[in-house]
Amino acid sequence: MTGTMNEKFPNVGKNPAAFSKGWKSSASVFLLLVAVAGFWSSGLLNEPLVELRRQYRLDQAAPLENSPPLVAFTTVAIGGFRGILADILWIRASTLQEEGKYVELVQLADWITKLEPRLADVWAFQAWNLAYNVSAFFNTPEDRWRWVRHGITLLRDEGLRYNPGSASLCRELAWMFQHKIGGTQDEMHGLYKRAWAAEMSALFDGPRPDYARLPAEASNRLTRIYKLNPAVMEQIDRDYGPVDWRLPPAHSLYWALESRRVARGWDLVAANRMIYQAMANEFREGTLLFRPEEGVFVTRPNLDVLPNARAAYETAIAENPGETAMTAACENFLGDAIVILFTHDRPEKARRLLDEFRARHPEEPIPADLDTFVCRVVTRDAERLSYEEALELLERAELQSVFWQALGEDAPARGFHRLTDICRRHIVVDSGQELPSLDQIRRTARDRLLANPPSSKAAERLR
Amino acid sequence: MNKVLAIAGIAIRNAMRSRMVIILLGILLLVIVGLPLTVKGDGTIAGQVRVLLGYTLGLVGFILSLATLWAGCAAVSLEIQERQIHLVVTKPVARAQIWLGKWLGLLILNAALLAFSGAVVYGLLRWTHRPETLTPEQFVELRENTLIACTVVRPEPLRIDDQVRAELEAIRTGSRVPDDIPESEVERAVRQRLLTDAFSVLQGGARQWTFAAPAKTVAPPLFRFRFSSSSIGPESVPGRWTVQRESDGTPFQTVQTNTSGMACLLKIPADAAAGGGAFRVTYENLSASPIVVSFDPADGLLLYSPAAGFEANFVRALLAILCRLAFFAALGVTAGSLFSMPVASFVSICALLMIQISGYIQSIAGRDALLHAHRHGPTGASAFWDHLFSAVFKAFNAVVGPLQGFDPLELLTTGQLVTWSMLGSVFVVQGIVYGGALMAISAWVLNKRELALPS
Repeated sequence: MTGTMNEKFPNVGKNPAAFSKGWKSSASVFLLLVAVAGFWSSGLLNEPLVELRRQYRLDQAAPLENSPPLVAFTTVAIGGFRGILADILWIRASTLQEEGKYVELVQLADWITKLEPRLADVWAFQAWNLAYNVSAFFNTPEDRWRWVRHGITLLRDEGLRYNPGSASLCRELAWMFQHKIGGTQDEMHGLYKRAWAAEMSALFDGPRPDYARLPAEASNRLTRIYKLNPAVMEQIDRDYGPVDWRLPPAHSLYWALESRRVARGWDLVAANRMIYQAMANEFREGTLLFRPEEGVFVTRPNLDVLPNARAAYETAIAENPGETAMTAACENFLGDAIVILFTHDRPEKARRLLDEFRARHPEEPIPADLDTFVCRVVTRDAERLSYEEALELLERAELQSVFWQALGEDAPARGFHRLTDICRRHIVVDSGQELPSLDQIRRTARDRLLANPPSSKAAERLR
Repeated sequence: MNKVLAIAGIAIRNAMRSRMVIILLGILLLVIVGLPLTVKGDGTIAGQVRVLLGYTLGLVGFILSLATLWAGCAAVSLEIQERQIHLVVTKPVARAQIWLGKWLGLLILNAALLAFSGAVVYGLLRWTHRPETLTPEQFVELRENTLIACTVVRPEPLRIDDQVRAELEAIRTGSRVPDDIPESEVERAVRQRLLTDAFSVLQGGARQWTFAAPAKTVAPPLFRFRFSSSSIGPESVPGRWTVQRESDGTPFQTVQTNTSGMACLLKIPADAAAGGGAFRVTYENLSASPIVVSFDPADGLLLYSPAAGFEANFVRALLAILCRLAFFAALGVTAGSLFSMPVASFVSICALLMIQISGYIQSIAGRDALLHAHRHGPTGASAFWDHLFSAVFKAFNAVVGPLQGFDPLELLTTGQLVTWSMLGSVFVVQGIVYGGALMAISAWVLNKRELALPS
């Protein structure tokens, strides 16, 4: 055996240490080459595998690309342990929140979401927690807005960056605009609306940008900071608007449409719902009466979008035939739309819509007369109203009339005054109560408004 | 002593030679400079400073703790494994001196690294928050509310013993408690209820608390409070606060609407803080709806009295961290004396984890029943396991409980004073008592081990 070895490897017997060293070096080089080849071939396989994953929708979104080093490190290097780390941070965040210590929450939310960047629910929860739960603990409007904004930016700037195909995150963002900023449940919603309008007004004059002549700086800021594509905004104005981009309903619509663009299954149903809700809000309060010199910031209906709002409902109903809630929502919206058209001095349009409404429900006892229909919607059970309730209802309607008159808006002033008039007559007939005269109600409403006028100029107009 | 210093010198030289110090310096610099670029506060200047200080120094402490444990384990175990220790143990040096030398070497290294980190963090803090980068309001907020070191005064304890006794007597007389409920439990419940009553204010009602005057004060105090309300969720409650010194003070009164669950701050003007004696603080619940406002008796009402400068507090917080590192160094060197390097590292990391969760262990050990919370207590096999786990947790708690101490970074970032007495207690417990015990164990084991025997 030894002899054979010596024949084949003559240097072995002479210098076994040198042979061993040479053999080890060759083996190391060989293994290194194999490793390099393995890495190279796995790199070649990666792209087709990613494509297959995208094609079969095995993941909710495209693979994470160009992520910052911190995210790449936490998602790859820590591996499965990142879940445990996220749990620990989540427990710390909950504990701090319970103790009323909010200083670290933004950072913790940032880390938790970065540890699980592909879980849309984590982003949605953390953003909701900041915008809804934490903000509610603050008393000053500036503090509250800061936390609502933290929630929005977490979703928009970070969540959607790592989950670009997530319909649910787009929908959550649309919901924040619709409910948190656009809604009236939060006592400081007026400030949120003003703050958002101020941000948008810094980018363009008036309700919407002049898309053809939008300065590069403003376009860049819209895209980079607010993640709004001016081309998509223009398309929305064409297809659904014109909308007022200083107000939340337009942004709610933008993100709801983004959600529908990528949604499938239940997400599609939810996106459709969000679209018609956004359109309904756009119709109800999609126009801004903004007179900074007078200190007036009031939203009012955007009557021009009514056909588009109706189309949004019809599309949603057609695409989701089993969803009876959508049909009910559409009917409610039509009822409200008739009243809004009436109160904004568009009786002809209101009457046409009422006729259409009745034609859709021939089996239901819907009044043919517009005044009667509007009174029914506003007063509900007029005969059951107490004297105080009836008076309060009438004074509030007339207060609206006086309010719009004070702002120099004649159409709603006339419409609400007419509403007070017909409701008063309707209540008197139905309940048989003796109510103050229309003039008396108007004087009371005028005094109430003058006690707290929207602006000094408005008070002058009233006097 | 010279022998100890010589061994410490060798340990430091070894660390320098192994590039450990350079690598640690690099990591620490990376953390100190890199972390503030990525961390986010809540958007306020105070939040930014607190997150910067807390996270940066916290991570520095964590990295140094891990490095100290690793280096401590390696200092003895690797020397035994590679037989380098033979050169030392064959000389007239006591085993305790070897331990002490290694520990001292690590302590000096840690002190240097911590001083370097502290200096960089402080410099960074001052540079990023220099007056020209802040608005005048932010500068005042930083100087008066954030970068401060305050003595925290809690309300004077209430004398409720007589009331507790009277209620207990009434309960006994009325036979309202079943026989199997221990009297101590009933007394605890009664005491808790009375205490809650004393810190609750009904709609339209008022309560007064007394805060002892702090011994030393350099500025008017701040009053911090946090309450919960009887309604679900955050509730805005209007209330009138009145603060007055017991003698010669101008009463200070303010009406504020605060949200339940939110930490709130009340600045007491200088003229109201002047005068002598204790501070009398009155709260009136002005809510229009029937809402009860309750302050946590433990930390719902706190008087913050500025007592020292931020810089001195910062240094004391660093010294407290150093005391903790001294303990970790002792733990590492001891583990290295007892076990081989892998086992020593594992044991040290386990010990570190145990110390980190000592608060949880303390809460478990305080429970009457662990597995079965039924009021009649467990029976049979359940009782056996319950007693066993209870004993294990109590034993753990007895060992790691005293190490809990206080969190210097929590105090530093919330503007509370790290006192010399706190520092002294940490030094005594972690450095002298636990360090001394570990040194004794280590010296005893090293004496028993057969080192440098002729082969």
